[in-house]
Amino acid sequence: MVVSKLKKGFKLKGLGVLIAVIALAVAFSIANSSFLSPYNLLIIIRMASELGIIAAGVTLLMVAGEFDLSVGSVYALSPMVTAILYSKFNVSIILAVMAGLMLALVLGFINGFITTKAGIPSFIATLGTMMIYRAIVLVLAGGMPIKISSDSLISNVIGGTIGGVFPAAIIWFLFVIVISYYILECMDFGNRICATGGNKKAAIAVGINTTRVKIITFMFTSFLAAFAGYVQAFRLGSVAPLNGRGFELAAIASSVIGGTSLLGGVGSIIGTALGALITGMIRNGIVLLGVSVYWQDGFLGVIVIVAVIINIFISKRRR
Amino acid sequence: MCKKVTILLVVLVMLLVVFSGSALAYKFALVVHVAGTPFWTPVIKGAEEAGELLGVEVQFMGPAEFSIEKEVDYLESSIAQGFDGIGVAIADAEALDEPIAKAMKLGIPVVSFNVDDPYTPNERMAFVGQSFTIAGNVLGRELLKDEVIPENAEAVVLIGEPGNAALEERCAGIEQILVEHGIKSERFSAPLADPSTAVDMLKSYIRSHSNLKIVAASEFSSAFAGVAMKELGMKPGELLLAGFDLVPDQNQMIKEGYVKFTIDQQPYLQGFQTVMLLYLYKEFGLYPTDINTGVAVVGIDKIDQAVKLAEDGYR
Repeated sequence: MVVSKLKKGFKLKGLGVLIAVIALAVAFSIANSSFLSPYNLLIIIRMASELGIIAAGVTLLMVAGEFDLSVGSVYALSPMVTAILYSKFNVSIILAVMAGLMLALVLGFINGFITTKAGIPSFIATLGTMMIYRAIVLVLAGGMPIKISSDSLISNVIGGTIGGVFPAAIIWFLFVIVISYYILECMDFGNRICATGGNKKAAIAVGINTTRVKIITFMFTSFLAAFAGYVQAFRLGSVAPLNGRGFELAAIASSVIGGTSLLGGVGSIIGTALGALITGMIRNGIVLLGVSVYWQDGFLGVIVIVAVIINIFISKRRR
Repeated sequence: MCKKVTILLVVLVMLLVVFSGSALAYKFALVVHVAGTPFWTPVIKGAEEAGELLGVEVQFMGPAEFSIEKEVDYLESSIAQGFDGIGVAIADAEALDEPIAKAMKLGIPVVSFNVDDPYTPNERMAFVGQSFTIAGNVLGRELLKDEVIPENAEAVVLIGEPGNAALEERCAGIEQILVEHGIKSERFSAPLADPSTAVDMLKSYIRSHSNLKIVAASEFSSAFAGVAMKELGMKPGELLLAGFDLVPDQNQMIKEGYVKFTIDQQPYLQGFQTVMLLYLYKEFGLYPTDINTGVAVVGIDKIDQAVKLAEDGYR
C-alpha cells in the first residue's frame, strides 16, 4: 500500500536535522564550555519544550495536508480564560484549566469546520481565526498581564520543577512527542492522517472520512497549543496577552527543519522535536556567543534552509 | 556527503571562534523585554561606555518584539552561562521573580533598570531609572507654570499602552497636579505604534471637546496631538501640550512650538549606572542602591542641543 511505503520514508527524514543538532552542539561547546553543562542543557531543552509541544500537533496537521496559524493565539487564549475564571470569578483552578482545555477543543473544531465545510484553505481560515482569537485575548485581558495560580497542585504538576531543578515542561515535551509519535507511526489513525494528506482521492476511495480525520487533527493541535500555554503560564505565574505571538511560524519552521513536507503526507515527529530543539539551542547559543540578538532569526533562517537541503539530498540518494 | 558536512562544521566552528572569546574582568548581561526599539540606543551606548571605562564586557539582549516569555529565556540563559552580573528591565511583576531569585541564589547580582517591580516581592538589589510618579508631577507643574488657565478648562491625559505600569504611574502623577489645580481631566489612548491613526483619533477628540485646553501625554503621543492641532489649522499655544521622550516627531513639534516641552528619562544613564553598580558590587562589595535617572525638561530653548546629543547616542 502507498501508506506503508511512505512510512518507510519517515525513518530517514530526521537525519538532516540530527546532523544540524550535532554540528551546532559541537560548535557552541567549542565556543563556550558552559554550553554543555547539565544546567544549561536543561535550560535549552526547557526552552524548546513549549514550542516542541505545539509543533508536534502542527506536524500531524501538516501531514494531514493542513496548516494551523492560530496555535499562537490559542496558546494565549486558553490560559487567559483560566486566569480570569480563577482570579476574577473564584473558580477552582482545576475547573478553570478544564474549561480552558475544553475551549481549545472547540477552537480547534471551529478551525477544522471552517476549513473542511466552507472549503477555505486552512492557511486562510486559520489566519482569520488567529486574529480573532488574539483579539479575544486582548479584549478579555484589557492589555494587562493576568496573574495565574502558582502554588496549587496542578500548577506544580504542569509548570513546576522536580526537586527545584528539573522542569516539568521537559517531561511533558517528551510525553507529547511519544504520544504523537505513537499516533502517527503505530495507530490506524496515523495511517489515515498520512493518507488524507498524501492522496486525498485515494484515501476517500478506501473509505477514509477525510473531513473527520482533519477536524480531529485540528482539535488535537489546538489542545496541544493550549496545553503548551499552560506549561508556560504556570511556570511564569502570569499570562500576558501577547504570549505566543510568532509561534505559528516557529512551529512550522520546526516541522520543516525536521523533514515534514509542506505538501502533506510526509512528516516526522522525532524530526520536529529536534527542530524545536534547534531553535532553543540557537536562542541560548546566541547569548553565549555575545552576538547581537538581532542575528537570532537570521541564524534560524540559515538552519531552516540548510536542514531542508540536507533532507532533499538524502531522499534523492536513497532513491 | 561526509565531506560537505565536514566543511559545514569547520565553517561553523570558525565563525563561532571569531564571534566569541574575551579576556575582560567581568561579563555583564543587560536583558530587556523588547530589544527592537530605538529607545535602547542610548542605554546600550551608556552601558558599553561604562564597560570600556571599567574594562568589563557588556552584552545587551532581548527579543526583537515585545515578549515576556522570551525575556525569561534570555535571563535564564545568561544565568546558566556564567555572567558575573545581570541588569534586567522587569516588564512583568510576576514572570521574572523566579529567575531573578535563582540568579541571586547563585551569587549573581541583579539590578533592575528602566522598569521595576516595586509592589510585589522581588529580589533585585536596586533599580536604576525614572521615578515615574514624580516624573508625572514634574510634567503637570511645568505645564501649568506661567500659564493662565480659564475657569472651565478641561484636560486629557494620554496613555498609549494602557496597563503599562510605568505609564500608569506617570498618568497618576500628572493627575495629582491637575486635581490640585481643580482641573477636570480624563484619559484617552492613541496607539503609539500607528501614528496616522493616532493623529486622526486625536483630531476627532480635539474637535469634539470645545473646553479642552491641556493635553498631557504619559509618553510621546503629545507629538501626535501637535500634528493633529496643525492639521486642524490651530495655532501653537491654543492648547497646552507636553509629553515624554526625545523622539524625532516630538522634537519637531517642540521646534514648531506646538509641544511646550518633553521630559527625558536620560536612558544613557540607565545603561551606564547599571553597569557601574554591578561592577562596584563585584569589585568592592558595595551594595547597589536605587538611582533616579532624573527628569530632564527639554523645551524649545534646549531642543537643538538635545537633538544633537540624541544623534550622538547620549540622549
